[in-house]
Formats: sequence, structure tokens, C-alpha cells
Amino acid sequence: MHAAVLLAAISLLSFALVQLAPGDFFDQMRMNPRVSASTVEGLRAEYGLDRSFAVRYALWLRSAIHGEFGISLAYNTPVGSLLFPRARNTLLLTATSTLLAWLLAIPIGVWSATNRRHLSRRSSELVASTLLTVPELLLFLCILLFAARSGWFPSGGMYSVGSEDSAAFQRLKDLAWHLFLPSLGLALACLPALIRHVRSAMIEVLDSPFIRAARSHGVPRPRLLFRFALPVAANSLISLAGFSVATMLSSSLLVEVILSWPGLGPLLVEATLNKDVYVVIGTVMFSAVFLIVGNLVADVLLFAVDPRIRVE
Amino acid sequence: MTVTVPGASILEVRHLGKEYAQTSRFGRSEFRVQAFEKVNLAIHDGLTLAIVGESGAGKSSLARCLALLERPSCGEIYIESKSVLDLTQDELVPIRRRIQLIFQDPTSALNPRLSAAEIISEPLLIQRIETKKQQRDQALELMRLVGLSPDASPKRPLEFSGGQRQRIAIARALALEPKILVLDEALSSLDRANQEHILLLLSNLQAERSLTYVHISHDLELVARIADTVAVMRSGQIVEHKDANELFARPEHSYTRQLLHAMQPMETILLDRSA
Amino acid sequence: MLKHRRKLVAGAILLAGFHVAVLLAGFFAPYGYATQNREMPYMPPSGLHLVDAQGKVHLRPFVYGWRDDGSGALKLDSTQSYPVHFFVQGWPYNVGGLVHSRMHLFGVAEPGRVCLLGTDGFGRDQFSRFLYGGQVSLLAGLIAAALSVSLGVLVGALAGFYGGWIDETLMRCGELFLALPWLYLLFAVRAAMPLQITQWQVFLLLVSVLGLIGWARPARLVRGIVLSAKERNFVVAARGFGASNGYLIRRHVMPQASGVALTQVTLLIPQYVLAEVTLTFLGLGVSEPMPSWGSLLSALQQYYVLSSYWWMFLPAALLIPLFLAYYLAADALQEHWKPVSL
Repeated sequence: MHAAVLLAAISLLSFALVQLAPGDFFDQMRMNPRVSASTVEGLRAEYGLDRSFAVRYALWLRSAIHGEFGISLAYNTPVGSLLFPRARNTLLLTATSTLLAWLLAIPIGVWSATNRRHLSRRSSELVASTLLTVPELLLFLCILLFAARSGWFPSGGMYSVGSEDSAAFQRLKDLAWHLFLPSLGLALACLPALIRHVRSAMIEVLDSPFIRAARSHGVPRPRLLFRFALPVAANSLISLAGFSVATMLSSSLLVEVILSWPGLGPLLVEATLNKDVYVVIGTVMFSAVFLIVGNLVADVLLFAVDPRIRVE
Repeated sequence: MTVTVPGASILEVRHLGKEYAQTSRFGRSEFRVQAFEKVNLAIHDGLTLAIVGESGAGKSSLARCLALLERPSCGEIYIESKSVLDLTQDELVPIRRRIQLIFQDPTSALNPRLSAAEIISEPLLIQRIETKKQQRDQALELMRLVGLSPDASPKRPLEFSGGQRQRIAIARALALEPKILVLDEALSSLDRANQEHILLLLSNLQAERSLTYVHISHDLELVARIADTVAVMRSGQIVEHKDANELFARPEHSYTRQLLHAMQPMETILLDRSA
Repeated sequence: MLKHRRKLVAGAILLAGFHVAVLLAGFFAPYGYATQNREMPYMPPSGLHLVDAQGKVHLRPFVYGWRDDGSGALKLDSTQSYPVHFFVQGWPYNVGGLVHSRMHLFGVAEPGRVCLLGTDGFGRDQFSRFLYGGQVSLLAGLIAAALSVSLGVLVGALAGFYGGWIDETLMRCGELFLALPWLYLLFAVRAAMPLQITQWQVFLLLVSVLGLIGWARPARLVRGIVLSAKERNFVVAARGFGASNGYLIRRHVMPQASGVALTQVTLLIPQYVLAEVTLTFLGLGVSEPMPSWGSLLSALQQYYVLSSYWWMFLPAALLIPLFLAYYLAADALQEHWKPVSL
């Protein structure tokens, strides 16, 4: 499967990119006159930063296979141990947002596709367009403001302080309460594009002859939409879902930073500022994995849903 | 079945064949189609050869190979007694002036973004013949020749009718002063009236410039009126190839007889021809 | 057709206005982007008034001064009013390093301040900083988009025209790039850049990376167009006249793709501007004192700024009409340049 090749290529690419840089983690230390040069070199040797590119890549690969993905220079622990819990959080966020987004997009998209001649279509188009032009940054900041001012939702974090002692159900409620705003924000950020696609897919299907035939047979509206049109439209929508994962992933970074959700995003920002190279590479890899897995899932779904593909 | 006519032929093909293969990603051919094979033809200066057969018989493919727009898989092509298939692309450039193709659909054969004058003078531009001004004048002259008003020269193809677009295509083909014109179902997309006009134009041109025509057609009635020699094609092979009068009077191959059977009675055809 | 004209015109006017204002930032901005006024941090926007406290109407708008009310906080002082003058002499600036001038569109006499969007923590006029910041952010977006699309057109044309293994390899590369989460990759590159390089170098590097990441989608679109254009009969006919590949690409194939290319540029610019703003917002883009819309907004990461000083949101809100203009233009272009088929 060429997914593996893709992953390998991405890892190589990110590794190369980061290693090409002239500076490294210890730049700050180097500037400090009280730290001797030999100390810095010793530290570098310890972390293997003085070896050649090929050797470093090979070492990193081996470390990756063991699930360690190198060492974080800032935390002095294997990168893997930092990444996995964060990745899990990002996954949770992204999955919830995807669900939420599609749950919203499908009814709105279908509704706007079927009411083409009414004024409601213009208004929904307008809403979608405006939402599209609002930069995510602004959206997330507004959400943060809303959270801070209203106090209805927490403005950050994943669990409340001291929640480790509560019962499991309480923890779940706490989690959901914290999860709500970030996932809503993320969903809203990706919503306009999704609505647009649902709408155009539905319009395309609704125009096709077999729908018109069914309509002339007197099939009632809701049944027509959901049992006839939607399954056909699902084909193009599912392949789209694969792509939407990519955009959602990029947006998730911003949401996580602004709303303090402990996912891959804030980790990456911090690591970039610190030039903690292995963490950076690991994070990029993980995000790529998400993307590829997302596309794979979309492919599998497509296979299951569309009988035509099974025949090929 | 070759027809040997005394005198050198202006266009001759021997054992021409074309195969289309759709190769898979790993180089293994998956899908082979033989468009035509073992084609032998010869046509003499100033005459009209018609190649007839049903659609899908490989005629268009043959037309493109003759006009040097596609490369045959095997065989030889001689234009004015020169073998052309072993020439390089650069060497072919002057040869291309001798033979041109008129497409079935004039609309797709013209770039919708260019004006009529630009379209017609394009061959001159490509072959770098004459100056820009002279090219333009030549284009206007050609428009007059094919019966179009030179005032229409800045118009785009969209603004012309189907028949007029085909005229533009003919004007363009004539720009390089070819000796041979291959017409690939050039009249099929036109209505009856336009067909008549274009046919008249073509026969005048042939008389004036001693042009050689290769008409690809599935319309036997048309062929009956204009062809000097006829080649009948079926499933990619020439099954019969002889003088037109001979063919209509005494068709040999069963397929030829089938084709003729679907047309009007023999007498009217022969009457048309003698007119 | 008429409807698209209207959209295009509306978008074009908005865009032109924005870009001119940003280009001539020095003229439109009353202050420099680094001019600090430590005595006036986080001031709300100076309201422009026409009617003064006594109810008298002035033709010339004016702003009120500020006065320390004794507790260290500044309050609006309606006894001091500073009329707004137009075409005043002020801070020196230059346009593109060539034209030097001191002429500003409007200003008030010292010690009055006209801050249409308020001030930030250092007392810097946000309006002026918005205009100057636009120079950086917009320029980044424009250059990156141009780079992406140029690269995409090149790759797409090559892949579409020559086909075969060239096509295969190029499209596979494209898939690779499409699969990358671009924001993450951007960070990776940013991580790679040493901390001690000049701002211009940071800017250029960022822009080039942005541009280099995004070629895949335009390439795919252009390739599609080239593929279909290549087979069109008029291209075949031109080949029959002895045209070289270069001529065919230049004369017949590329013009079909130009519409798509322009639309892609228009769509990509807002995305790249946003990318630069996001990066700078997170502290990873261009750094002080080079202004960028991102740095204008980065103060909002602090809670007290976020909840107390609403005008700090304004630069972000002003981005909305800009993006709207771009999307309008892109929409209209897309409609206008539907593939010409008869």
C-alpha cells in the first residue's frame, strides 16, 4: 500500500528540512558565556547532534520503530511518551469536530439544495459565505472571549483541576464540558466548505434523471431525499471527507493553542520555539499519519457504501 | 488488392497498420486494438480516392496517419515518391506542406479564442513563411477563395455557421498550398445545402490547382458522385479497391455488395456518374 | 454575465482600495508603526466628533484629548479638542524606498492623538500599524500565491503535455504534498530556521516555503486542462502544420489554463495571508519591530487584553471584507472562465 511509502517520504522530508537548518537547540546555550564550548559539544554528542545526516536518520528510524521517535531536548524524555497522549487528545478533538461538522453540514446542505428557488437559499448562501470569510483566528478568539465572559464553558484545558479524584462518570462529564467549545469552534471553521460541497453534490444528484423519474412516480419528498438521493451523493461526499480531515487537522492546531486544549498543536508551537527538533519531526509525522489514516478510512467507507467500486 | 495504374503516384502507402495499446502502469499491455492493418493504397495526381466503410472501421485513424498526424505502427508512406516515415520531425516540416487534413467537426478544429484571420494564417506563422503583413493578406485572399467575406476576418469561430467554419478550415488547409487534401468525413456534419456548396468549392479547387483528394466517408451516395477510385474498408482492412465505375458496376466483394445494396438502385447511380 | 460583472467589479474596487491604502501606508497613516507613546497604553479608538460638548456643530471633525484623572488612568477630556487637519506634514516615510515624503492624509496637532483603532500596550496607534502591517502580510500572501501558482502551472503543463512517467512521478509528488498538513510542515521549517537571522530573511523563507508547499492543487487543475486541450483537434491540426511542442504549449494550451491560474491565485492569496498572520500570531513569523497583522493580534493571547480591550479585535475584523473581496473576485473569475466550449 502506498500509504507506507508516503509516510516514509514524509518522514524523510521533514527530517531533511529540519536538519538542513544551521542552528540547533543549543544555540541559546552557546550564547551564554558562562557555559563552556566543550560542555555544549559534549551535550551535542550526547544527543547525537554531531553525527552525519544519514546516521541520525537511521538512528531515528530505529528509535521510531521502538515507539520512541528520538529524544526531546527540552524535556529529556523520549518523544514518543510526549506525543502519544497529545495525539490521543488531538484525535478526540478532531473526531468530535468531524462528527459535529457533518451532523450540521448534511441537514443544512440538503436543505439549501432543495430550497433553491426560495429566498432561504440566498440567506443560507450568504451565511455560508460570510462564515467562509471569517478568519479562523478571529472565530477562535471570539469563542475564547465568550467562554471567558459568560463562564458557561471553561476557557481552556481538558479537565478541571482536581478532577482526577472524581468518579469516572464525573470525569466524563467534565471532559465533555471542556470538549464542547473547542470542537464546536473547529466544526464551525470547517463548516462552510462542507456545506458548499454537500449542497453541490445534492444538486447534482437531484438533477439526475432517476430522481426525476422517482418524483414523477409520486415518491414523497423526505423519502426521496434520504433513501434515493443521499446514498448516491454519499459517494462524492465520502471522498471529500477524506480531504476535509487535512484542513481540519491544520485548523485543529490553532484551536488547541488558543483554547489551551492539550493536543499536538501547543506541543508543536513550543517545540518550534525551542528548536526541539525531534519533537517537531515527531509531531509532523503523527499529523501526517492522521491524514493518511483519515483518507484510508474514507476509502474503506467508500468501498463499503458504493457497490460500483466493489465490482471493479 | 492493389490497383496498378501507370505513372508515379503522388501518395502511396504499403502495408500500413496501426495498433492502439493501453499500457498498464507496469508496462504490460492490457488492451490492444487494431485500428487498421495491411493497407495498400496508391493515388495519382489530380484524382480523388474515396475510402468507404462503416463507422468504426478505422477510417479516421487511417486518415490521420496519411496526413502525418499520427504514427502508424508499421508500413511505409510515400509522398511524391519520398518515404516519409523514417524522417525526423524537423525533416518532416517541409513535407507537411504537401498534405493536409480537414476534420469532420470544424468547430473542434478551430481554436475558439482566435480570429478567423489568425486561424487561417497560422500555418504560415508556424512555417515562418512571409512577413506578418503578407500572412494577413494571404489569409484574406484565402477567405475570398473559399467564399467568405474578408470583412469577417476578425470574427471568432463562434460567430460563424457550421458551413462557414468548415470553409475556414479548408482555407487554413490551403494556406500552405498542399497537393493532397485528406478529408475525414468533412461533409458529414453539414446539412445538405452546405454540403452542395462545399462540394462545388472543392471541385473548383481541384480543377484550378490540380489537387488530389482522399475522401473518407460512409456516405456512398456522395462517394458515387465524386470519386475516381474507391477503396472499401471493413474491420480495419481494405477489402476492395478499384476504379469507381468498375466498383459500382461490378462489385466483387460481398461486403461491397452489401453496402451498395443499402443504397439507391444501380441505374440511378450510374446515371449520376455519367452526368 | 451581468451578475458576474457586478461581483467582479465590487470585489475589484474593494481590493484596489485595500491595496492602495496598504501600499501608501505612510500617507494614510497618521503615525509610524513603531511610534510609541508609553503614556497612552490600550486606549480605545478616538471617536471623531462633529458636535462638541456645548452642542455646537463643527464642520471639521475633531477628537478629544486625554487627561489623567488623578488615579493614573486616562479619561476622555471634553475640554480639550483637537481638530483633524487633512494633508498635514508629519512623520517622514517612503514608498517602496523611492518616494520620500512627509505628507499625511490626516492628523492632529500634538499632544492630541487620533487613533482610529485605538492603541496597543505600548501606546502605538493600531490604525497606522494596521496599514503598515498590511504591507508585510499582504505582500507575503501575494508573493507566496504567485510562487505556488507559477510552480503549479509549470508542473501541471509538463505533466499534462508530456504524460507518461513524467506525469506519474509529478502527480505522485503532488499527492505527497497534498497529504502534508501544511501548517505543521510550516512549523517544521520554521523550527529549522536559526533564531538569529534578519527579519527579511525570515520573511523570504516563510514566503518561499508557503509558496513551495501549495503547488499541488493548481498543478492538478492545470494538468487536467492541458490534458483535454492537448487532444483538441485544433492542436492536432497545428501539429499537422509542423508546430513544435513549445509552440503548441505556448499558443494553444496555456491560454486555456490562464483562467484557472488566475482564479487559483485569487483563491490562494487569502489563505496564505492567513497563514502568515497565524504564524506571526503564535510568535513564529516575522518578529518585532516588523509589523504584521499577526503581531497586532498576538496581544489577544493575554486574557486581560482579550476581555477588556475590544478594539484589539478590530484588525481581525477588518480582514473579513478583504477576504470577502478576494472570494468575490475568485467566484466571478471562475464563472467567467468556464472552459470555452462550443
